[in-house]
Amino acid sequence: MTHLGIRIKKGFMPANPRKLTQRSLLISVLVVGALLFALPYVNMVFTSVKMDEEMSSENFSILPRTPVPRTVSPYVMDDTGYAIKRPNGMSREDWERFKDPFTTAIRSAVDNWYGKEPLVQTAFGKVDRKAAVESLTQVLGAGVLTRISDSARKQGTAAMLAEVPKLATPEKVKDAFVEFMPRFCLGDVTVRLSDYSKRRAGTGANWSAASSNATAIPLAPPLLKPGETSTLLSYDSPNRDPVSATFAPAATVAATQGATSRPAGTLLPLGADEASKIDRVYVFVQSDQSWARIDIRLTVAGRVYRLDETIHAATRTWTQIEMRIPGQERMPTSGRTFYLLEDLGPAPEGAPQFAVDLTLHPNSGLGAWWAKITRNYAIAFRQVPIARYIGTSISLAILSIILTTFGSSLSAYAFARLDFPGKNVFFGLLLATMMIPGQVTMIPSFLIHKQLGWYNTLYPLWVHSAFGAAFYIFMLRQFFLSIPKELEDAARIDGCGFFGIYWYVMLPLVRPTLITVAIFSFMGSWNNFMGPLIYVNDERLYNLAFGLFKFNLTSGANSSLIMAGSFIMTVPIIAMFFFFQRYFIQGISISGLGGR
Amino acid sequence: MSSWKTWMALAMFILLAVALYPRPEKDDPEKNKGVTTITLWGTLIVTEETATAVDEFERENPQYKVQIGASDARDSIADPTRFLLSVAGEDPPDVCGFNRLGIIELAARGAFVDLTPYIEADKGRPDGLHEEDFFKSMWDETCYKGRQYAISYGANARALILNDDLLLRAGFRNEDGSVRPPKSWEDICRKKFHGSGTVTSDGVVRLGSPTELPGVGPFPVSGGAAVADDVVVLTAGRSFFRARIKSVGADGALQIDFSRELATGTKAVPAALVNAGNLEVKVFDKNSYTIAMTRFKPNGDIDVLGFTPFGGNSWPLNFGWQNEATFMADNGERVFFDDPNLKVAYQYLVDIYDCVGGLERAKPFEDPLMGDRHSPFVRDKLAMIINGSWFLGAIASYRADFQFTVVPAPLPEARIKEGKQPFTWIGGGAWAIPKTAKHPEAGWALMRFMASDKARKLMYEVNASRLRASGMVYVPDMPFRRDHVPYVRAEYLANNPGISTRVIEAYDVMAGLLPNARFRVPTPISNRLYEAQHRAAADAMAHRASVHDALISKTPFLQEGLDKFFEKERGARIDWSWMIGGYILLLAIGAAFLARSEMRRRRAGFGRRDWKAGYMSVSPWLVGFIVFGGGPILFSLVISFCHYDALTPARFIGLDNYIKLLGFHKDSLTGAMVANDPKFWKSLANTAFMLVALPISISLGLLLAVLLNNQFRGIAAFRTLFYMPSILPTVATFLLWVWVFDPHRGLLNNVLMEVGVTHPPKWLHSATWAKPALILMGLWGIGGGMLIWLAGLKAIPVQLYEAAEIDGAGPMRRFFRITLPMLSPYIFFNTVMGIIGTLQVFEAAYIMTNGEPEDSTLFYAFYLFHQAFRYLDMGTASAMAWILFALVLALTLFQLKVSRKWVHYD
Repeated sequence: MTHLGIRIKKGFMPANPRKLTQRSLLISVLVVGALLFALPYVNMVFTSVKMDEEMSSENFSILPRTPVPRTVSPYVMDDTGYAIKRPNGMSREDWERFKDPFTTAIRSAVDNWYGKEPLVQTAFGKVDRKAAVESLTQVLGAGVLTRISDSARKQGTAAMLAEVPKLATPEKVKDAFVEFMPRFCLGDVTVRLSDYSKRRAGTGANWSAASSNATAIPLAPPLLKPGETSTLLSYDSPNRDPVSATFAPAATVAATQGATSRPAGTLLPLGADEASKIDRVYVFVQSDQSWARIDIRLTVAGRVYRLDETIHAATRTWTQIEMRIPGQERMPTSGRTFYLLEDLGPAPEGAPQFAVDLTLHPNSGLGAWWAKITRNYAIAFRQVPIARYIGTSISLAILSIILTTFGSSLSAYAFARLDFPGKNVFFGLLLATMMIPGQVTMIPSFLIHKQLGWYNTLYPLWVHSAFGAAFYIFMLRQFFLSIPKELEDAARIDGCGFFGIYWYVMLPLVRPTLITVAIFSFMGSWNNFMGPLIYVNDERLYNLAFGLFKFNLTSGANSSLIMAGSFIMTVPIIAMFFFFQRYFIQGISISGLGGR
Repeated sequence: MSSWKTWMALAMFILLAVALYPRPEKDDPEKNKGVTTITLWGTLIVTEETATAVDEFERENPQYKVQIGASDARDSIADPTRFLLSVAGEDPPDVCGFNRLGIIELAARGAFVDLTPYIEADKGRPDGLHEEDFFKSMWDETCYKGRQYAISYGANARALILNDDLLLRAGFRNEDGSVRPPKSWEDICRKKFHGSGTVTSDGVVRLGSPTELPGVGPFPVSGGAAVADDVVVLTAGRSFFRARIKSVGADGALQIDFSRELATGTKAVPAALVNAGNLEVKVFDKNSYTIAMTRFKPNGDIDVLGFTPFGGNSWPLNFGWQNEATFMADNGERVFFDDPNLKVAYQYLVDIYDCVGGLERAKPFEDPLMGDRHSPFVRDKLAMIINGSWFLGAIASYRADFQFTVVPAPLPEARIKEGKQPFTWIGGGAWAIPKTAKHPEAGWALMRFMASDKARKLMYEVNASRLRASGMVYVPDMPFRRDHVPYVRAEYLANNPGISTRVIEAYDVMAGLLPNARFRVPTPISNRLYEAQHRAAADAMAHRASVHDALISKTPFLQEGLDKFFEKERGARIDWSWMIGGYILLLAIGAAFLARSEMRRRRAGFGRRDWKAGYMSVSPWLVGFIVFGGGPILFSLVISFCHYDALTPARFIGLDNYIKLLGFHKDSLTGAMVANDPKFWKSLANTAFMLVALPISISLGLLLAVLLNNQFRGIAAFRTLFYMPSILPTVATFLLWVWVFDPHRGLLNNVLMEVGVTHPPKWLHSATWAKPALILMGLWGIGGGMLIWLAGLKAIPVQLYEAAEIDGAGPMRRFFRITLPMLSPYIFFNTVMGIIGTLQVFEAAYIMTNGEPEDSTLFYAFYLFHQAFRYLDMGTASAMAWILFALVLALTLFQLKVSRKWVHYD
């Protein structure tokens, strides 16, 4: 077996006991070292699939949390992240005395509210009340513990308990309930017409269940804020059958009454004749983190559409799903947060002018994992044109490799083998340029490229390669020098010109070195960051290194997306390494270059 | 090379490269007849909304086509890199967006078109831009010497945001049970005593006399005598101690309480303070909001912090204004960094940190203030913060149930007595037209549209969709036009069920502050001023310098920038055509010289040389050198003797740049010799520090190589694993390590805390640990070095070891007497390359730290970049580049000389 260019002859474990101990020690040291080395990278990969809520400092874990697929909704959360814990400054004895009466008081406050709220009985009727109360007790209790006044704390546990009824109000219980009871809710549907005006197609009340395993229950205050409408989709699908709901627009008005007559902040209803003018559709959904696949189909003016991408019920917040009918609009050069609609053909006879059909496909455990793993990558690919960046980087890398190897080797050949006036002066200059920091020429170089009309083009990123690089020229020259002169003479006698000798005799002999040069120029080009920073302005010309940097700046603090982007950037290099392993190693050893 | 397979592969690759080469759609000259292409550069954040408005502009005005780009590269505040390059390249955008901080700096240097005539011409036009439509502050911030240079496009306001629950818990409530917000600076943090004193090791503090702040008089204090439970802060230099008062003796001596708020087990005052004799003693009122709401963990860390003045978005500037401080003379030619009101404001900042136990302990509450769900304010860990309007959206998104109140940030009691009203300060971006823009008229039309009702409404809509798509609640930022406020309020706040009344109230408070808002001083040195304010505050808060010294020490840096700007036409103008002519002449002379020596050689009877083949072969390098090497090198050498800001012609100033960098002068106050440019030396020292990494990585790499220089099955896998990190793409590696080093959520500190380190370093957020962190990151890449050593080890003849073993040499001896000498050429080569590489460290600083914190990662190459593109001083930057070259050369020659002693060649 040849691996890393080194032939392995001996067995894994020697027979000699002393050597055995040494070997075991060595291996354990190596294993520990290897683990340490792998850890940051592993961290990158694992972070790239985490959800934003998993990244708080309180509950750190290297491994991403296992997504729990649900077939019943609403349900009780397993882990809200809140628990009744001893507050700082309270002694253990006090806590022992305080803990149980406190928890009981909170529990009864939650249970009271739970029992009294009719909407909870209907909409959340299938939820295990005991478990729900317990979960909410922990959330509310943790909140109340931070709110007990300092003066009560000073007076002791009795005073603290006395404050509980004042703090564990029905309002607070409701807040905890709204925040921590996962449910699937459907809200307003608005559309934008081609003249940019917006219309309200309907509210949450216009949704109804469309499969037997689901019921649609309209929510109302106190679970909703005044003015809010939404419909809870309660479902139970033990065999993971699809769960569907459908949206039919509110009664439409005959003609548009002119956009000025409405009070600010409200929208006119969708007119009967306006469906054909729709170019964007916005649907508000509060998903239940059931990891079910959400399939949305739109019927608009006689045609059926669906999203160009798969989405999953991965979060618990209200999300606006924006869908655009492909048209004349210019696509953003950077990312997009909307979905494009895919035309599925004409709608069946008798279909309404406008309708939304939403189907949930409950997921299996594996499916949920897959959904979670691909989620951040899908977002990254949608928000950043990573595919285009990769294409640009590959293209630039190929051009650099070809030009660098050719340019450097030809010049190196001249320095090594040909005799011409000024050769030594030039070689001295070449060595000197190796020492001149890039910063020296940064500004004037820019001005020259500008004069050539190369500003905001990719030329400055690859044309230079044709001129060779001082270090590679130097390195190749050393290898050319070591080739016996007789070979060259023989070729000359056979009628070869200087280029023939270079091409047919010299190049094949320095092949390994050439490959090394190629690999280094690939890495240099792939990592090129200053080039785009200085020369390129058009976002469509960014390479991957700079595109990723830009993504990092614009995506704010979302580390999981940045790690997803970074991981994507490393993949080609790693793939390349496994293909050209031998040359990587050889190259490093030949050149004495230690990577970075 | 001639085999057809190679050619096929080559052709395939070229085809692939051509196929993947990006080709942005070309302008079709036929179709675009009569169409003017406007180039518009925005800042990073606005691209998406800008693009939408631009689409509409194109639809309305078919005679225009707009190309969008970005004018900044690193951050929108202080990085005009790209803009400057484009101006230098004489192809600037027609309209460009900047943070308003940078606008005037560039405008003062003549970079932008004076928009006043355009505005005048539009008077009476319904879609014209009229001063009265804008908030005054937003109009005035883009005004310099009475002329308008830009049009604002965004705004934000800042106010004090209170966590109601935490205030109520501490008892800050009105009669009716509502929250009682702080009314003045003193409510937030009241100081009862500031003066000298002594302390004993068992904690008896005796107060001395009040101290004076130079130029101000005694430190202003209020609130009467110290009582039990008040906070005492003792400082001597950088040693710092904070405790509560247990009791006040009859003679006024204060007994410190060791049982509360100090790490468990603290029983004595640090010896440094006891031995110091006379200390700085401060006594703070226990009822100050900040003190009353700050809570500690048993280990002495802060659990809940009452107030952080510096986090969020308040900046020291804000506190200066609140105390009516002046920064600049009216004519803009002098800096007032010694204004007594400014000193008092800075002292107040220092006091707030001191009263909760110092900057270090409060820092963790500031680092992550990104306005995301992990912000300590949203997580009930911070009671009060001064933050901007954008923070309301984060609150609404992550804590729908959050009980909070927003009030204007309070003023000092003295100012309230004078009848001053609280205010906010605003920031945001603005559009401007560069002087050399090709289509200023078209640019103006676009700017007019971008500020119009229609465009703004489209932009609000885009932002709303973007946020709502990721499950957030959209709370719009502040409008820059008065007439937009009611629209935004009605459209996005009032009827929006996702937004609670508290958010709307908060929005109203902030919007109400807009008409009288303050803004950053428009001056030609905005960036320097901004930086100096922060540095001075950071120095004072960390007790690295007194408030007075911290401020005074920044004055020369500011005044220098001003002087340089106001300096009239000094030195001879350098004409580029002369430069180019000179270079061509130089090349000609060189060629003639070569020709002459060749002639002589031939006459002397040497054989003809194959000069045709030679020059043809060497031409790739030679052409590259002549065009992109030699010329630029000479050019940069010339401008290193010039004053050149890329916007105005270069002027010859002799050695001034070098003197400024390398020279020293006598400080007028202390009489000590100080460097003309301390940051230059700091950057050099930082870079030198990084050289520490070299021996570490070489020895670790060598150790690894020795371990891996064994033969057994599976060792190759280890080699691969250790090698892999060194080839990972740099940008990806940097971003990964930024995340690993995250002080709270990163891998490293969580692992460290897991193994029992209670206070792990804050790595990239700590001035002490930032460089070691970068070195640690570098060690991840030792695999590359390891392979070199491995190759070297394999090349050592086995006979040497065998002979040594026979002679009785042990393993250590064999290593030091055979392995090391045999490897010495490798070690030498890698040391040389390593030093050259280290001196040029740039990207890590640019991507990971931006030179922060406190300039601790301001490396040489990065400072050079700053000189060129932040301080607009290409001349100094070039001088730095040449000093770097001299350093590299000297170090290499030195090593070559030394190497003869220890490098062993066969």
